[in-house]
Amino acid sequence: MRLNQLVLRNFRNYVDCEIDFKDGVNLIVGENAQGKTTLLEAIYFLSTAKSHRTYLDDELIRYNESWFYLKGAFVPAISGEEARREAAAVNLMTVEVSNELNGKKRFKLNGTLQKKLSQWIGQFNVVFFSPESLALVKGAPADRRRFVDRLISQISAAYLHHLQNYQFALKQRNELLKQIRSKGASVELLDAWDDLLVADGIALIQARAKVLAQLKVHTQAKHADLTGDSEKLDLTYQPLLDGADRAMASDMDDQFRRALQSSRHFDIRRGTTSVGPHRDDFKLVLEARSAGTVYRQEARSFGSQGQQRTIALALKLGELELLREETEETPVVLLDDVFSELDEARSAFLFELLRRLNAQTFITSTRQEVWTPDLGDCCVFTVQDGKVR
Amino acid sequence: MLYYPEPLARVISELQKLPTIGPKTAQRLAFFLLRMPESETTKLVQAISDVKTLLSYCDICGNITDRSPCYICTDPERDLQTICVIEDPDDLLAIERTKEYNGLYHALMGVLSPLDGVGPNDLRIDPLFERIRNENIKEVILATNYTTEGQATALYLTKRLENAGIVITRIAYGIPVGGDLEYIDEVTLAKALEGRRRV
Ligand SMILES: Nc1ncnc2c1ncn2[C@@H]1O[C@H](COP(=O)(O)OP(=O)(O)OP(=O)(O)O)[C@@H](O)[C@H]1O
Ligand SMILES: [Mg+2]
Ligand SMILES: [Zn+2]
Repeated sequence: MRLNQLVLRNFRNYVDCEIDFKDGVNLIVGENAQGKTTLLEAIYFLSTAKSHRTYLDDELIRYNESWFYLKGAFVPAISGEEARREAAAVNLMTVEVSNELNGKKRFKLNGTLQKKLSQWIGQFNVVFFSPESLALVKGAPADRRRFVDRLISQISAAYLHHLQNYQFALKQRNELLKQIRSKGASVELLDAWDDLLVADGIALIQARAKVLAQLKVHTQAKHADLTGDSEKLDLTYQPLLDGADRAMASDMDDQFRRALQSSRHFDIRRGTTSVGPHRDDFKLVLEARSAGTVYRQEARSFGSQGQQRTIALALKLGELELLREETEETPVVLLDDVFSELDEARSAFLFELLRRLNAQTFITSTRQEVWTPDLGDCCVFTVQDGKVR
Repeated sequence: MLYYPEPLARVISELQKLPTIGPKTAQRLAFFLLRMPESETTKLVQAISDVKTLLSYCDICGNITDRSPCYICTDPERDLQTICVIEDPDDLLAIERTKEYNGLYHALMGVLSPLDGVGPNDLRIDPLFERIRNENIKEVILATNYTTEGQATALYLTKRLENAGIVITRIAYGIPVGGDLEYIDEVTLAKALEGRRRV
């Protein structure tokens, strides 16, 4: 599927804008603060119902306005100019979202209002790469968890459902812990919330173990391509429950329940839940050879800037491959300001790969010259003050 | 700004307090009331007022009734050994409409929710245990909703009833009648598979 048309109304600095995009590479050029990233943000929002840079949907509403509206129209991805022109006349799918200030988001699929987010989300998949993607390597566990959660949610509506249930049960349990501490609520009440955390939590752990194992294979392959086999990357799931990634569901059930039990007093004192998949992480270890010795070091603290950037890119490309494998469709690729991030060799590798996959790609840059003819064809869009030419 | 005479503004603002009634509907209803014969509006006012003065909750099951105990609790034809535990009296009406259930009810008047400050003492849980002790109850059906709080409440009750020597069951979660499998979301479908039965 290919994004054929994007409509933005009152979205950040866009008032009312309609853009017709092309297959292949769409290069979005403009000075700073003109609205380049905002275009990618809009596409990302249509896929995930979230912004990549803020939790607050109301921030996306144009100043002094009370709502925003986005629409994406998709056509089949067909190569060949003639077939494409024919197909372009027919929309395969339209995805719409609107958000009112202090109100609710409303989602439409092919013109019909969708009550459940899980029935709207992930109609098309995106991979977003920007300088901030470096947080996957350098950032806190929460950054990596968010990446994994969004990735699996794109593949499985059931995962999103378990995640939402888990997070809500966790909130309730944490509140109960505080009430036990301060208001003498009964400790027994924790049992019910523990049961819920265990049921949904184990579904999360199992899905993460499975997907991270797949992601590891893809990421390692891409990392090897990028570094020419001189370094080896290892990615390991670190469930807070020890060995939970390998255990059977029934054992895990027991283990999680016992862990919650034994941390109860500690949890009550702190007023928050200290064990469970909401504390999970994955570890990136780099194996490098130097002066005949093999070093295994955590990329987060020991990797050089360049090594960390390569790993971040490899993870994103791993995500791309994984989404392709799981959904049998090439995701839309969003590259924000990557030329400042990647050297020539890595850029060339990246674009060669995207061309081979025939991925519809959106690239932002302040300078059109970064795109050299040897990188292939591209269609240029110029952004100025929330208007696109 | 539109300006209404005070009595009209008042009825509009009162109507707006009702669920699903927005400003436009409230205005339409108010003008409709204005055009109604006085005998009709008097009947409406009386009916609304009677709902509050003549109806109350059944002391035993929590049903909405004009006498306590209610018609269900005093019906000798019903199965007096089974209690169906529900969140609110509205759920009772829904189950009664099915005509499939012939036992008794017990409305909890809510669900456990620490975030809303609702604990067991804020619900009709102790009266439930009292009934189980004093009446000859053999089975308790937990029919709270399949929301996080409804589930937590069912789990809490299950644990506390473990040693009461009665059968505890939970209503199943599944596919709506006439539901085309193709259009059912995968979560519901997975749950329905989990709760499958031998035929
Ligand atoms: N809610 C909003 N309403 C109106 N304008 C906004 C809103 N939020 C952000 N802006 C403005 O929108 C403009 C575009 O921001 P955007 O991040 O898309 O720029 P950019 O073209 O990617 O710039 P850079 O090259 O610096 O990354 C900025 O001037 C920003 O101040
Ligand atoms: Mg930008
Ligand atoms: Zn009654």
